[in-house]
Amino acid sequence: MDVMERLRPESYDEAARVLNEAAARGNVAIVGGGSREAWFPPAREPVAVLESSALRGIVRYTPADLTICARAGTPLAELGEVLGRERQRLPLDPWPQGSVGGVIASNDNGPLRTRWGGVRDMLIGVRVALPNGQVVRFGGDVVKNVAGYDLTKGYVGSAGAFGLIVEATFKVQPQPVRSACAALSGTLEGLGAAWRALRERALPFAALEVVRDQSRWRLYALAEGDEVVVERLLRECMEAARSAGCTLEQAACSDVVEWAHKPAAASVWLRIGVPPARTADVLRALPQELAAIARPWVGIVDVCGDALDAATAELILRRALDAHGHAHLRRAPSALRLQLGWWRMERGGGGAALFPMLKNALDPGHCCNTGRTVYDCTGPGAAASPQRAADI
Amino acid sequence: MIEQSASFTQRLRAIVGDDGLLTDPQQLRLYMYDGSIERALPLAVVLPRTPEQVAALVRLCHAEGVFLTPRGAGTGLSGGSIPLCGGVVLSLARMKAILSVDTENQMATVEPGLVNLDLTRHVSPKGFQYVPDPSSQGACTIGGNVAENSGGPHTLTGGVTTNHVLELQLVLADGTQVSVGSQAPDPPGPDLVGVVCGSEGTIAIVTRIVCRIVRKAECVRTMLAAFDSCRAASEAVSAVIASGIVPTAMEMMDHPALSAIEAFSHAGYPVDAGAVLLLELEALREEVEDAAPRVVEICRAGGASEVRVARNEEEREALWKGRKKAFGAMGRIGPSYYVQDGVIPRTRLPEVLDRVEEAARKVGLRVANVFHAGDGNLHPLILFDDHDPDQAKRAIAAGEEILRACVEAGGSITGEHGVGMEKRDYMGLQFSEATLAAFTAFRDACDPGHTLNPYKLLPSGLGCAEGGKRQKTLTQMQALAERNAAIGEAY
Repeated sequence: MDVMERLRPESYDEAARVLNEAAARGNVAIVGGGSREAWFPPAREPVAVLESSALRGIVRYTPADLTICARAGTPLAELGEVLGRERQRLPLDPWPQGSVGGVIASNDNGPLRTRWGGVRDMLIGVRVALPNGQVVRFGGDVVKNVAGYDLTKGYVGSAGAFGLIVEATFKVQPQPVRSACAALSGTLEGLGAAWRALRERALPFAALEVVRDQSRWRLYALAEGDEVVVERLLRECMEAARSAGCTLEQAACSDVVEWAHKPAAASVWLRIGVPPARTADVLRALPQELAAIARPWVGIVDVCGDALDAATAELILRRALDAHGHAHLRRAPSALRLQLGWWRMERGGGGAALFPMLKNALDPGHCCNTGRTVYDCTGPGAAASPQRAADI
Repeated sequence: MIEQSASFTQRLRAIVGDDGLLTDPQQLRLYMYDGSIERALPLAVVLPRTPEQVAALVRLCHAEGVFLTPRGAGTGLSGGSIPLCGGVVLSLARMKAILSVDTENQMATVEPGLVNLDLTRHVSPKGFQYVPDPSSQGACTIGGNVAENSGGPHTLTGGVTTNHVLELQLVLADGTQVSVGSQAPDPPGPDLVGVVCGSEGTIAIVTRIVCRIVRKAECVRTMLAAFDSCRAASEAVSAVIASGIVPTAMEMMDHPALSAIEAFSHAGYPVDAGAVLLLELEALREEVEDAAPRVVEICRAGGASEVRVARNEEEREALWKGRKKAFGAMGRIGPSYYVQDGVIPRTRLPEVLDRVEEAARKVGLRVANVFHAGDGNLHPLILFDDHDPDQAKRAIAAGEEILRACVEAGGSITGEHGVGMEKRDYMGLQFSEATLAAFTAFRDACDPGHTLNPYKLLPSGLGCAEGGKRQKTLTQMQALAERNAAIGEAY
């Protein structure tokens, strides 16, 4: 078998040209930095692999505008360094970090999702190489912009289905002056009472992570901001711990980071999303041998471990669906993958209708990463997704 | 033809009942307008009460090739709800229920005709609010906000409508009912809610919205700073941001705007100032108490002649009152106004404001500025007499010049009012032919017959540049427009 051609264009125009040429021959696999390649079903029978890795560097950055524009292959870490020199940051902290384009296409995020939202809340524009050989631009460099369809959003979570992202612009923010972390330990019920009490007071914690290691439950609260804010948030943690009957423990900000890095190192990683108030329901049902990291204010639960049998996994997935949530099996040994597929989600029918409309408009030949999303994957790895009535 | 139109009307009536259909020309005239300077008469107005009725109406119009223009409260400023080619106006005004409020998950399910402010009023006793707050929030609907992806003064930190929508129930162009998004975070696949928000009623009609509600901040502080010039005020905006403080709102009003506003709403604004900044901090008590004096200091250092801090809710409301009613106040200084909505990177404010001034001067008209300085979203109000066609023409020319300046400064032709029919021919200033072709391809894929809100958002002449397929669509649309007109004549 031929070694598949790998295309690493160095300019936007070159990207559009080589994509156009490859698309004329067949399907094209589109990859960013490659760090999340195994999270999605493989592209269907590609004749070439198109990478954004040679499209690297900052395009525009005016710190006073709090926006930054970078080429898609720029590692997120490099973007962070450039921003850090101006004491700014992009509050997006997924792990692995990967590239700018990859984090958009995979719609990934980390602990800071609690306070600052996801990719869709920070991304204000993309430039894309389309299979028709054109480079197009959606959105722009300004923080408010309703000109034309907001197709920028369509690229968030697109897994390369609509062409190669070559450039992106984000809103950024000042770095917090200070960060500190508190940890509460106790029963899941006690911690649940604490995180609910804190939420009711609209306290701006940067991150709130409930973790289970063996049989111990712990709630990490990351406080960021000016000195007075951090002090206040730490005081609130103390108060919440006392009234919920939990123990306050010493913790470092790096604890939050360490926990957030765990799933990527495990052989099984299941990312579950549920309405936030259902987080505890999902956690309560998890078998002992699995570790869990959850964002209870958001409704994200990362379940990870070294072994998971299909029957247990089905029970966990069932619970996520029952809670009107969804799940993405990000990492799995191949046997489990074959049994479980990639996703579980309720579908309101809108995706099944709108996804092909976007695909037909942007990739009418259906040659870009076809088969990699929940809406067009097929075969044993596909999602078993119950259809739901449109009524919400 | 008459027979056919009668049967069409009967079929509309069969769906919405007698009280859901307006055909009396007197009543139809009320639906000629929105908040823009455009107008056109529909052949009928339907007022459905359920998503099923909306779906049936869309199916009927789709089958008959009759244009359908969705409408919220008609407060839009870009002509988005004007029935440009006649056809049917579908008003969502009667679908205005708050279906559920879930404080535990911080979300509410509402119908599209719900007035924006009514949601905040409803959840306020529980300590919650709905963040997007367009100045017309006392009248505009949440469905309309979704269509336009509306903003407001508090979007600098809070985000615009799309950032507050979780799930949407839709009727697609062929009348099928579906939903997109999820009440759980980050659903797999592309962000389809984000694609629908801001699509201006051209790809689907929204029949139900699950939106985020958030707890009100613990402490709010509003202050007003008076400067000699817009330039000085703009520089103060950048200085505040550079200090690491991001206020929830930073609104600017220039001298002409101030005099009009003060005469209209007696908000107590310093009318002799060259420009006024209205700043609001919303956060924890400690944070506000720490940041507020720093903001005052920065404004003073930037040349503010006066800085006033609201001491209580009453004073805060007084400061906001003038700003929120600013557009209405323009009647004090001119018979009519033409408002633009361009956006620029915040650091380019001083030079672009000069160009705004110059654009108006060049055509011999006055301009007043009331805008969201924090996010660089301009609202130059070009004052003219709408009974004088020449003045109207000059106002439009100045408007175009201003949009050109915004795009040249790296910005956008619209930040929150939408493209509608008013700015569709300026899309080419901002987007390349290839990008416009992608927009058109998306529109064609969603609604091949362009039945939903036709001739909006996309450049009117785009088809000619594209040859074959599009030409055919245009010819079909021309035929449809004639057919719509013919049905209209039958009344």
